[in-house]
Amino acid sequence: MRKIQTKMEQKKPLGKRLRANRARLLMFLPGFAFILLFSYGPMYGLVLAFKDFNIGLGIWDSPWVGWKHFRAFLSNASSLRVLGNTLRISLLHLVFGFPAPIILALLLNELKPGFFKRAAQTISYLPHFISWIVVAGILSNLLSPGTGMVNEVIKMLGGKPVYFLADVRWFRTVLVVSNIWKGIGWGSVVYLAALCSIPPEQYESAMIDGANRLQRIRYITLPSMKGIISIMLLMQAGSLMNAGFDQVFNLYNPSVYAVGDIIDTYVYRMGIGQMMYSFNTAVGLFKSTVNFILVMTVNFVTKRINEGESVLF
Amino acid sequence: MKGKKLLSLLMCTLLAAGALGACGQEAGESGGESRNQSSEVKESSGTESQEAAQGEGTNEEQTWQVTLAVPVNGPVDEKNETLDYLNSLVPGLEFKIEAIEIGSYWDILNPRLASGEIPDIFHCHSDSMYRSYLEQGVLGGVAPELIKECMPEFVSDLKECDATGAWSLVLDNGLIYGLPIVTGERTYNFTNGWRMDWLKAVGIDKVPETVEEYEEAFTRFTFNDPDGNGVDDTYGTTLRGKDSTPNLFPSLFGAYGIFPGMWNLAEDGTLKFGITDPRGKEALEKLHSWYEKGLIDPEFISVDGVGRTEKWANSKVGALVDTTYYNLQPGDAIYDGLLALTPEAEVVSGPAPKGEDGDYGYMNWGRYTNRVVFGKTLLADEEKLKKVLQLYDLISTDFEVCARLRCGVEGTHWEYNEFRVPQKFSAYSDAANNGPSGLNTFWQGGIPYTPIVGDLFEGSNIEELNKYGKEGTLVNGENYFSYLGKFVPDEVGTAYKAEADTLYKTNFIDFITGARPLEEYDAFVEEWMAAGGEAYTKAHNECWQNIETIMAEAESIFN
Amino acid sequence: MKTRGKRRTKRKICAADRALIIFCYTCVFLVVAVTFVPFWELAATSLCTRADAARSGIRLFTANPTLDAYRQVLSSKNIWNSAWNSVVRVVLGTVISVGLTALTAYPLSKADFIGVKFFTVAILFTMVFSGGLIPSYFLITKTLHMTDSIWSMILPGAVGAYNLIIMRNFLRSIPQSLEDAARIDGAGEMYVWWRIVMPLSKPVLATVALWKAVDHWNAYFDCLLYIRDQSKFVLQVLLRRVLVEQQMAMLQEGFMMDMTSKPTEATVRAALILISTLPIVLVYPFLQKYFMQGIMLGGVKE
Repeated sequence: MRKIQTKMEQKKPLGKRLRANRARLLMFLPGFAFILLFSYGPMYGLVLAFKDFNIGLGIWDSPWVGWKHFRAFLSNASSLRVLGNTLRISLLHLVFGFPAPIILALLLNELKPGFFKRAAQTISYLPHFISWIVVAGILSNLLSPGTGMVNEVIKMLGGKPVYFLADVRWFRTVLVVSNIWKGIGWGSVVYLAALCSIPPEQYESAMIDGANRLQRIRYITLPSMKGIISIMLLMQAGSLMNAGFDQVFNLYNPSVYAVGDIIDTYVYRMGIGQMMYSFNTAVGLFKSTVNFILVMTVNFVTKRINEGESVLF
Repeated sequence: MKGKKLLSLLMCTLLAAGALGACGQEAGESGGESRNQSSEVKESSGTESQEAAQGEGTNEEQTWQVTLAVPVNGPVDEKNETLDYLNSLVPGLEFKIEAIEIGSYWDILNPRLASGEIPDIFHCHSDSMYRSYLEQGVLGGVAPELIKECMPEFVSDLKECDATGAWSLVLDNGLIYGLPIVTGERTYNFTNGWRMDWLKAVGIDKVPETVEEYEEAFTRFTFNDPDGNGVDDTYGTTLRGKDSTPNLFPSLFGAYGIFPGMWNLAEDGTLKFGITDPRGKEALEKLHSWYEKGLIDPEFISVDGVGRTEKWANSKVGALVDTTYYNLQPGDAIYDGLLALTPEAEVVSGPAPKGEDGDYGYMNWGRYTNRVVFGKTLLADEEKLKKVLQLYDLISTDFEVCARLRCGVEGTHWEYNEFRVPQKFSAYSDAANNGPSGLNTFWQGGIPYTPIVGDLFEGSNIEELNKYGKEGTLVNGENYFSYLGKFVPDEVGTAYKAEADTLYKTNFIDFITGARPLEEYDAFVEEWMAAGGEAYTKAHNECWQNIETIMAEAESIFN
Repeated sequence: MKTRGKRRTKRKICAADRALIIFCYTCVFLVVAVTFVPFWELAATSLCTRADAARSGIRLFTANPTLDAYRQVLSSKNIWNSAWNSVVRVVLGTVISVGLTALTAYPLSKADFIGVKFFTVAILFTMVFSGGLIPSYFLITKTLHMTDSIWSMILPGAVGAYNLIIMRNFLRSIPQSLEDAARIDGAGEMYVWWRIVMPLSKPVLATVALWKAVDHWNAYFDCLLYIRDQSKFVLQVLLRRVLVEQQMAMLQEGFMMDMTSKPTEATVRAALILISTLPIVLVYPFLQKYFMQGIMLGGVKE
């Protein structure tokens, strides 16, 4: 329908269409100008990736260097490490962080509606609304080797205190667990919504057939969540290059750079602190490009799954 | 139900406000205003200010605005007494000071420079930053003749101290890009600080002098409850694992005959970096065993300079290692902070620990330290440039003026102590209290006071205060060649910083905590070499070969 | 959910079901506990005296509660100042952003709007491809000279692709007939938008407004990049200084107190965390419904 309509519109001369849309254009263009300025504007700065930026000369007059910075990035040990960390942390989030809200949603779904369920939901959503800065404060209090509660428990059980936030063996675990802590409740909302849309008749007929709860979960609940789970999974896969800047930036310290430094934090540190502007623009462009390809792939796949309707666009 | 109504009402008002904003009235107006403001700010810094100033140049009492960026360790109010005093020194100059927290100095300063807001004059305590500023065209070069003309005292002070070579720190292609900061003595007044009251409490009556005595004291500090609070919450010492690996207990390394972050002249006449010496491994073994035993604060990995003094002030550790003597004197924030919380604390300093072979000594940074550099904006107006240089000549060479800027008013903020060294009153040694007085402005840097002035501040010539820093088997002073780093080419320095330096820092931490076994020390050295250490070593050796030529140019100009 | 509540006629619970239910309750209880205990522990820590705070051990209660830490935090002029900056930012940022987004999304929701396909793709493209940190930084500081201005934190993100698409999707679901009726009476686009479309869009406006408000409240990175004047810092940057970079001096300004009763860094940090979380905890339960709507609107495409 829509297609036919636009086709018909297009047949009208441009001037006339402009006039007909005058008011709408006036409404639309201020907002669009923001997008042009703040989202497309910086894309001009991407030329920096192919230049050797010199503050004295400015963006325009700095010399062109072609692919130099990309080559440097892909042949440099620490940037490869950063790339590896990014992928590894993303994958850990995918493997452990992704199923957690689904499980919580299933659990919550089995609870009787009432005070406890409501309270449980409200409390578990709360960390989502707290910034990573505050979470970092909470974690450094909780995980401190001297007085932190976690280490007190470890000591009580006869173990040796661990400095989680500065130990290369533990830092990624901290990232994954704290990410689950912060996101599990909120993440479950989408799945709960999907569960609500399962017709109760299905359950009732299953009960008449004598299926117990576990069987009902196995044969009714889970299959009906397949769609939303696969879509959410693909969407997370599309953001593989984003390993969570806010989280890492506020939790890491030099002693865990080896395992915790990701592309975004690296770009920030080197770019803002060390004045390696061109190199870092190149790294950012590399990341953006990979991201773009990933998202387009995901879009294509979801289109297949959803029979022509993609999740993204 | 009632709540719901209330909510929708709230929403409605929110919505209404939103829509109003969108219609443009309020938001548009205030937006315009703010733009104007920010453009004004812009004009007042950078090159445009000079144009503006020249425009009104007919006025006889012309004033020039000078922007200055300095690292600070506490608040600086926008209007303060120190600033007023500074502005009164040379008529016509009006300073706008950007006080930047020292921990995030580069992170804040560099983006400003990149976006074209270059201060007229700023502190620069990193050689690699200086090199890249130079290459990036941020700095402005002044003819040496002008320096000599406007800064006669400064030039002659450096000559008198036999430090004209220091000008080569800021000399490039015949122009002077800043002012070198030089210390007077060839030794630094490092020392290890001890809690004498703790030592006594655990049954030790003399300040530890050997590695074994250190270990014994640390052990008792950790396990014998030196503060008597009945809780096992103390450690021997803590280290600056977060921010400064060269400061990671160098005096202990000294007991094994090397300083890991320093250059040594090997027997074959070449320079070798400290960590490549196998003796570094022995010191790390000792540190690792102490860490394993729990003598070293397990949080040291994330402790920086501030965190370390916090632990000291809170009586969590009984030794403050590789600090300076003046940190252990009244009038210093570190000493006063401890005493404020624990009035009965007794602080003493002691010698570096002696190793089995009798080696000992404190590290040394060399006498050429940092720079105060000229932004290229300073050159736009010669009149202004001359006045700024004259001002810097005054504040860097006149002790009274410098003391007024750094410490405040004698009798109000400070007094002379028994060594005739300025000592702040305890209320002002804590940087947090100095916002209104502006005393934090020049405390961390910003004034390149000459060695003559510096000696008066630090009492460097007073034997009693510096004895531990001067004694030892490790020769202090220029032998550590750290100043050569100031002449290493930018590419090599940057590459080293990006790779090998990080490798060195993280591995040292890992060796201490045991995250990496010390059997792999040799492998680590090889990794370091491969990651840029080799090129760095080569560059240092080249500098070392040519150092006389490098210095000669500056010396010929200023001698 | 409601239907399941009604269904309580048959109460034949077999053993497996009972075990499962107990298991579910236990697990959910654990999740709640793990979420809640850190806050509880912080509350206990924040009330500790200097001596108690130094003691190790799990702290869920404190024998001699004191409000010293809160007194120090609340007496800091920096806290009040930055909290005020945050409030200004949240209000101004949310109002501008929601207004502009609603205005922009309306034409975009019309299939016959000129160039609608092109515009939509242009907007969606910004979701997956960006200029990156340094070009954005140069744009805002070098080209637009917005350093130290509150607009550097408000304008760049004011019209976001994601919110725009959510809003557009919602507007599409409003029946065309209502608008047409108004148009027949001679109403212009602006009138239709303001008097007919906007009142019907309250749910999505509320949702986007809340999202935006939380985003603004929690944002720090732009402030870190573009604001140098300490008096213009937002609360999160101050929190970062104190909690992450551990610079207590930010809080001690003008705070002179008998040092021996001075609260420790740990108790002050705990108090600070709780104080900064309080606004969200207070507001959140009331607005929960609207937050949830956002997920429904945005999570799955309509």
